Amino acid sequence: MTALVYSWDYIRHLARGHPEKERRYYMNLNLFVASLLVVPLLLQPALTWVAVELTTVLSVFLVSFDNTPPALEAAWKYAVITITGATVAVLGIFLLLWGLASAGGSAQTWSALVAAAPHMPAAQLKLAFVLILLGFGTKVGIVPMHTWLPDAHSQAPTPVCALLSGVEVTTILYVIMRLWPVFQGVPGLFATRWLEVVGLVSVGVAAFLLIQVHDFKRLFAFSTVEHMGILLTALGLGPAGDFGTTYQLLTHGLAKSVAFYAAGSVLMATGTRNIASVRGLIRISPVAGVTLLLSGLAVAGAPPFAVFLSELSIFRAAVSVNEVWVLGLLLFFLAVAFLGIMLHINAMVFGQPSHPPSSTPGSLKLAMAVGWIPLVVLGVYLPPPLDHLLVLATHALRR
Amino acid sequence: MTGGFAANLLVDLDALVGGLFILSAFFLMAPRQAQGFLKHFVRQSFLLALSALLLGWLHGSVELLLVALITLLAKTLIIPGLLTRTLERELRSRREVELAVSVPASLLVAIVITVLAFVFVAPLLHGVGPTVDINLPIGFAVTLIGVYTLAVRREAVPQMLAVMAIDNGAFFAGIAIASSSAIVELAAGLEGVVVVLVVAILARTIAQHVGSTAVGDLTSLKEGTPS
Amino acid sequence: MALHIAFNILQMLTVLLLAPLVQGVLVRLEERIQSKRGPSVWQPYFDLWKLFHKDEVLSTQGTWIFRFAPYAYFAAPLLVTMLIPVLTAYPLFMAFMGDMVAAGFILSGGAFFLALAAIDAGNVYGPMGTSRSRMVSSLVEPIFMIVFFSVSFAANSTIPYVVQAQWVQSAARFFSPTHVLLVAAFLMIILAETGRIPVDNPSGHFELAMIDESKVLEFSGRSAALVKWGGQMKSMVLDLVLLNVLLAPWGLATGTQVSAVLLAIPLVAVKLAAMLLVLAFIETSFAKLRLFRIEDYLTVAFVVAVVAMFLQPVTL
Repeated sequence: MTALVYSWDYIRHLARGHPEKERRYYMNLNLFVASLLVVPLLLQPALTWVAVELTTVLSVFLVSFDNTPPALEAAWKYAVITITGATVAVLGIFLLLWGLASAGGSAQTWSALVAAAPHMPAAQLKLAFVLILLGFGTKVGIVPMHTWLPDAHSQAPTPVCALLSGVEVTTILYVIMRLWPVFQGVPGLFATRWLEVVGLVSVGVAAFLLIQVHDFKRLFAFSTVEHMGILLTALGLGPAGDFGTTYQLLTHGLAKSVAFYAAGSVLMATGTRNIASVRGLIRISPVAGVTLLLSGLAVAGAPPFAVFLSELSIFRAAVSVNEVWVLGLLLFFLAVAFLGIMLHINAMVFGQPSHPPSSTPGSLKLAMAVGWIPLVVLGVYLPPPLDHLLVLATHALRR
Repeated sequence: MTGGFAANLLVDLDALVGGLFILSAFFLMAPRQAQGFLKHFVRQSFLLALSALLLGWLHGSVELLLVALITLLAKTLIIPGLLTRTLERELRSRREVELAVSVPASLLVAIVITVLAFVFVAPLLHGVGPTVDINLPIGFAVTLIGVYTLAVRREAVPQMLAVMAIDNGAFFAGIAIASSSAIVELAAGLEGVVVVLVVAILARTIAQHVGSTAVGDLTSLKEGTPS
Repeated sequence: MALHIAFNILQMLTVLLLAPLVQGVLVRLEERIQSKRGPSVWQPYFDLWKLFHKDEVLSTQGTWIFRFAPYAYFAAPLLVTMLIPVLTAYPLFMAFMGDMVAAGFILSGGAFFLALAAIDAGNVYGPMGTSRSRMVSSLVEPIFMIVFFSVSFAANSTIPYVVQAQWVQSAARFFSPTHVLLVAAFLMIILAETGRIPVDNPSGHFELAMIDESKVLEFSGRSAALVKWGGQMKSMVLDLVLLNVLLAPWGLATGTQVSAVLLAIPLVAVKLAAMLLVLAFIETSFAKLRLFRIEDYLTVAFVVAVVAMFLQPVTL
């Protein structure tokens, strides 16, 4: 968890003179990380739901850490919208458990659910699917329930942003992926279509919003919405998209964390989140400038980085199942998003310096460096063990 | 399982509670002050507990009886207590809650939502027993109405209570359809208290730093305005 | 046949004579709940007696409508009595003359004349009260209709005698959500239609805040007595519809013996007393709504009625 290393200096900086506050922060942060780790460990969907709810509850105060009106607003939106989503999802889970009980299953585990799914009425599966997709979808920020995400992910302290955007969102998406085999039994392309439509809408809306953001942390937050959309679309592509999905999940987690670290160091160097007031970053703080530029390229999906490869494999999947429309729209939206991200980042990194030069604290550098290694390595070379792991994960997804 | 006549009576009483439950969802849309909202919420939670009690008795399920007990404790005692402790001033304020949509208009939307809920659930209701017939559609409708109520309220306390009302709706359906997984409901019921505690503290912080809990006025975060 | 006509007359007499008592008991109960002593339960009779012996003052602006309206308002509830079950569970001589829609129509006919008369007199408060009570009524009317239609949808008839048998068929029907919602909606509109809290304050005497009362300010002497009595009968008739048709159709005479019908009078009176207790409780525990909040209240009633209608095929 590179976030912890990063926190060291960053929170020192924020909470100078408030040791009490600092302690609370670390307690919350560790609890939150623990709850995130618990989610994939649980075998029972209902308990997973409880864990998901816990991740929200535990991270609310991390978002509102600054206690400024915007931070509180973000935390409030975050709490209310995601808890609502979770509550809607619980009804879907009840429906699934009901189906499980009437299909004769007794152990309420994922595998029992998958086994019982073909015996459940299609209408029930459909309703449960929509409820769970919308419910958990709220938590991964699919459009139109995405409104909280840019707020929460931009107002929280940077390490928390990295966790929220890089890890939390992917964890919840993992839950949706886990449920996915249950719904494959639904006749027709019902679930597939839902995922593709929801995913594409999210990518599209996020891509166009990326162009008009004013806050560089929000820039990356919207990029998260976009990536989640890509992931859902890939999931909807069927078995061909699975490898791409798992790969993208991994690379997104890596790239987004690094991107937020870069954004955080820019924030420390300049003291503003406003894109328009940061110019010539490469002279203000070379470390922050270079990492920002590179991480911008990385999350936008430029060639040398891992995200490019994972997106490529999703395109390949779209071609292989002949979803030309999906491919076309996805390509178009990604181009728009790339343009949006690079437009802003170019403006920030180059030009006349707007702030006096400053240096980046050591632990920030360390966290970014550690974050960078897998991102670059995976971009040029996928090690066989990891490849094997991804293939295994892909198979597990379909079981 | 309880025998013939008594079982019938329990089913009938559950239907009665169901009717009152959906009624309470509509009443929950009408009040203009936080206090009235809380009052209706407590009533609704009480009905939920009552239904869990009836179903628990009917199926001879100890878990459901426990759910009833926990709902009663958590939602009619602890949550209102917590709210009163943390948000005393906001709760007692006579200020009218700001609404995004007027009450009559939103009630008309509620009709549409209810009808949609029944349409969605209708295919599931073939030979599933009388209590599911009542609890599932009504619970689903109340859940959706709750989401809508939440969306049009622009104050912290009513929003918080609307979230809990959504919870009530989901559970009202849950106690009938997933009675075997009552352990989940127990955990979730307890978690509701934690959620309210967290959100209430957040609301108090908002009140301290912003001066009011009219969260609808917090609109600094959006695209197009430099922050 | 003759017996049926006699019973019908007995029903009308019951309503005619008991209506002021119902009013008196209600006022007394409310005062008691507010820990005051309150007037005697016979006070409405004294009031009527007093008014009948007073001279009448007529506005020089007024026309025949002003003199005719009190009689129309007085006669309307009596006519309705012939159509609804007051004492007997089986239809009487006149019952098939009209259904529940007709009953509603007759009642609003009476109210219509009262509204005309209030404008006719030329007093400033009359038209104000009229416009307000029209606003309430125009919102109440569709709810009435929906309640009636969903009731008749269940019973396949709009005749109140047929409808009341509907709910007692089985306990499942009696407890069904549809029934609960219908009763709730009907109770809410009765409160609105008879000018009670939370829509109007019947004991308020502040002209600007009045709704129903300001329409009758101009009446005096015999006209005032008739309007008052008519209003009391209207409340009682509506309460009886709620009790005998919708909520609790028990205690009505099923046999044709005179004794059975006479026995029904105390039984109905007991039900009415219970109902009055509920009304008194509502009146004392709520505050009057602001004029423009009334529409919120009535929309709730409307939604409840509509949902009751939609719920019917699912839950019955």
